[in-house]
Amino acid sequence: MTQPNSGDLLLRMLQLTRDAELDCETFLEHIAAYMDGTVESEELLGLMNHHRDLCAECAEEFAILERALSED
Amino acid sequence: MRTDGSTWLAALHAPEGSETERALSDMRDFVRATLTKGFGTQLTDADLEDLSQETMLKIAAKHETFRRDSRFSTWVAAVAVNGALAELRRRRHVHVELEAATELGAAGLVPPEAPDRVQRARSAQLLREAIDTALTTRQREALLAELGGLPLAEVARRLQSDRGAVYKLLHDGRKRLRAYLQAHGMDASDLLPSPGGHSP
Ligand SMILES: [Zn+2]
Repeated sequence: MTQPNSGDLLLRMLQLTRDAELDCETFLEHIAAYMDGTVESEELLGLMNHHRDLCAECAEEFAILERALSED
Repeated sequence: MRTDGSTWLAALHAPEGSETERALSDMRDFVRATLTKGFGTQLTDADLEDLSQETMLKIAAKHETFRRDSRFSTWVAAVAVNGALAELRRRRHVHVELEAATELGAAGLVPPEAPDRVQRARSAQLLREAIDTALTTRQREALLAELGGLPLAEVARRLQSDRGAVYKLLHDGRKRLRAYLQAHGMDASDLLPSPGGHSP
């Protein structure tokens, strides 16, 4: 079995690490507005984008929501 | 014609009656359709039934917290997806012990065979040192479990904590690791393989 390379994963997370980050709860509190493109400020939108890049779990949750609500 | 999100929100405040019932029934259909489209075959009919019911109960209990900064239907879909994903993650990892996940995470720090193997080995060594010396025991445990593929909510459950607190623990840990690397004249970009996959 091949091991996932957790070293690279960690290094990528360290590259994205900032002093001020949103936690998952805050991301999920605003996920509906993020989906609709109605996030209340540019600053929050920047933090939401950053959290989505950093947190694979919230990114997965957003991708499922996007698929669930897509037209077709 | 089917009722929409604003009608559902009004119905949650309205007295019982056929209009209210129709709106809530439409909302339930929407929840089920959302879960079906979002998760496909990962959910059985019985799952869809249970998770739709749970979502309806959650919405009844917490619709007052709807921030009105999105469509209500999007908020409803987000509640449904959140509950279903949490349940799927719990099921997938129910038999995974914290220790097994941390061992997997630690094992993954070993560099793969690659043309730049020597440099990769050095980088893995420095990361291991940073993890061993710069983190608290709890941070180390949470980080290695996360790297071993255990979702944060599942790490939290095993540490008798919650996802928010574990995120903060890990965020603080990442800042410590970054500082440790900086103190050794490195940053994460220096240690990652070059985009082409080969070092000179
Ligand atoms: Zn997150």
